[in-house]
Amino acid sequence: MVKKVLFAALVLAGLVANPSPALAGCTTTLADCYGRAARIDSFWYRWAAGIDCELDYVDCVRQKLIGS
Amino acid sequence: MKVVPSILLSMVILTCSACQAVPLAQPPSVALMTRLFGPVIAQQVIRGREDHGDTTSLLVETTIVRVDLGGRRVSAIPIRVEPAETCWGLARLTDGSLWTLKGRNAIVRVEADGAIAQVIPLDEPHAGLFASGDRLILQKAVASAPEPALRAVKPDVGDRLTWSALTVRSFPGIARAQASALSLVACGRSAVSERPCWFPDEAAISLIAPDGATRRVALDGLAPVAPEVLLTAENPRRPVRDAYVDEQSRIWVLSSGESSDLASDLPGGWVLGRYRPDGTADGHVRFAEPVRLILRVQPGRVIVLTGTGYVSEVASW
Repeated sequence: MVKKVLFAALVLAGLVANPSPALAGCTTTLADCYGRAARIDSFWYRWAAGIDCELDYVDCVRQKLIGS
Repeated sequence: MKVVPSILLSMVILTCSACQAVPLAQPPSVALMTRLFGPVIAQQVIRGREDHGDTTSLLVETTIVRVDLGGRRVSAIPIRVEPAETCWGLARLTDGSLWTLKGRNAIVRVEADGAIAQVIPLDEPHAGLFASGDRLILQKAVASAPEPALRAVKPDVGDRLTWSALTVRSFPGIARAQASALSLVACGRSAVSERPCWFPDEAAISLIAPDGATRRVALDGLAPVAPEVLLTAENPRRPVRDAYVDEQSRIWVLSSGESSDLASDLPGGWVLGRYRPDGTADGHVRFAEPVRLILRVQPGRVIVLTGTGYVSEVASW
């Protein structure tokens, strides 16, 4: 799980390295959130924190991607 | 002196050639838009939409805005949720009941006065809600490829069945949260039984029958947008912002348009295209102001909701 979260954070870092302004904000927040989750010692708390990061990200981008 | 008649004959021939080159049905480049009434909403995101007869209901924040297109009237009904709670999606079933997602973990039935009459807890977080006949169509917030994107459930029955052939897609090198976001489904309205639904990056729609049978239609001449662009843009260019299938099964598609059009802060798309049922392009118009929704397609006209919140009409072609 740690590897997956770190990998995701790396991928995201690449995506936001050259951002257009703003949905990038959601992506940056996701990367920060993954980073914080990866530092949690307990496996299950880390896993739950990772899920929360994903849910918050989907909420963040949903209105731009499918809202009218 | 035979030169003048020859020139005139040449002009007639050239004119007729030009007539043949430009189809008579070709739409004007910029649509003439006429305001009917409004504004009916401000610039908040429209989180859900349902049609019933001459009325369109829009979910704005936690308020249902009812727009009576025939009577040119508007009413707003706040859904009675706690101040911090959010709603997404509107689903009107054949029995007339109206449902929305409350937060991520419950679907609720909303009464005509905004009261919540029924709460159905969900076992997983969800991000999308639609209706098909007597079933609610649900989309999970986070999912992994290639599981079904949408599932159907009757409010009084627990079993969830796969609805449509749409599946969560995989994007190599992209985090699961982002792949889930790219697999969010939006659906437009239809005057026939098939409903148009689409993914945010694709230049294609899926026409879904009530039983879930799915027919994918690629839209001729419409370019998809790269996922990494879509996920990082301030105002992402969306190939399909709204779609409407008219009584002749023609597909009307509202697109963002080219980036040069996106200087405006107003929400909406700038291009309306019409496609034959097989996806072949059948003309398009550009708008002088952005449009958020295609409300109705009627003989000779298309009724739209503009970025400034007005209900307006443009001439069909």
